[in-house]
Amino acid sequence: MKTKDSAFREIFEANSKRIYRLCYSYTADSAAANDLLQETFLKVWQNLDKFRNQSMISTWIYRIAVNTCLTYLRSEKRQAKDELTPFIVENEKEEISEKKEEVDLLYQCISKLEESERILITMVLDEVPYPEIAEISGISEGNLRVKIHRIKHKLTELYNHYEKL
Amino acid sequence: MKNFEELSSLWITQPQAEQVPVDILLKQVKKGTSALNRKLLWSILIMAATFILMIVLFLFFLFNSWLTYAGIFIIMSTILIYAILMFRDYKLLASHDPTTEVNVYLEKLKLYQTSRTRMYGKMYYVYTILLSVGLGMFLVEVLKPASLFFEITAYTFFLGWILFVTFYWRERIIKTEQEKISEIINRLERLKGQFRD
Repeated sequence: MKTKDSAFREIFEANSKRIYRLCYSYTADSAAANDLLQETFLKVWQNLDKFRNQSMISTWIYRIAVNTCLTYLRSEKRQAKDELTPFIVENEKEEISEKKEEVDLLYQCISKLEESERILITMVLDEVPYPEIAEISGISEGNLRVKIHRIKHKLTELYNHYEKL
Repeated sequence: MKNFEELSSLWITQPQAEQVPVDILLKQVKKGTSALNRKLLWSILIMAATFILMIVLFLFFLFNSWLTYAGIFIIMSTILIYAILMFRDYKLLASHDPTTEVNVYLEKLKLYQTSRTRMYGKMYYVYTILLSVGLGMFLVEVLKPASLFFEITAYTFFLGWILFVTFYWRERIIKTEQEKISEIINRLERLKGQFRD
């Protein structure tokens, strides 16, 4: 029988990357994303005994992470509020590689979306199946497809707009 | 110009960000859990210790006046009622499972907010009056052998403390806590609207 420690390790290794991305897309700040990641896994640790396999463990953790991100209630200042001015983009260009620059721009654009949109698009980008996204977000699959289609369009437009700057 | 598929492949192939190693996280979560437990334990222990002290006074100390016993009894009852109310509030939020829907948590928060408003509103005055009456009755006999100066100092200190808590500290606690809860509720309400089908 697996110990709680080893089960936790396995769960962390398998899910932390996706959860970090979700948190980062919410905060656009690596320190805050790490805080949220830790908070999520603290809740996972505290509730691991209660997990009853009614859903996939990844769905369960995603739901915890989503709720943790949503109740991320420290001061508004800690949220991604920076306007995407050409100055900021320009500064980043000097410091980082082209690839990293593109990824950063993508995150910045995600952070411009509404909270629920950020979470949904992160799951889409992470290739979480639609039924699982529907279960996590509590939105019916039919409506989810419409919403996601709209968010994809919005994100692409945002990205292309800021890329030109 | 990029299309969504290109953004998607950019996302998938993004460099791995630096994350907390699992061992450190494991240490932190264990520490975090015990810290939460410790905090709760301390609150319960302080309440329990005061209650036990009162029982000891009640059972093993011989006082001459019934007024002193009545005072101890009032203090004990007040502490007990207050502890029960606090524990009920704690349970309200602690019973929240992070996997539940946001609106379940939202309902619990609203209940918590109402309960806390009541606790720091009328309930606080009832609590303070009962505690002051109880302590006042207890101190009559206890301070009898002391000098008049000591007696006046003790009563002044006690009165000053009650006034400080009632008109300064209490206001601050209410303000901070209510602002925080309202902020949480507002954001969750906004979010509930966004997720609606």
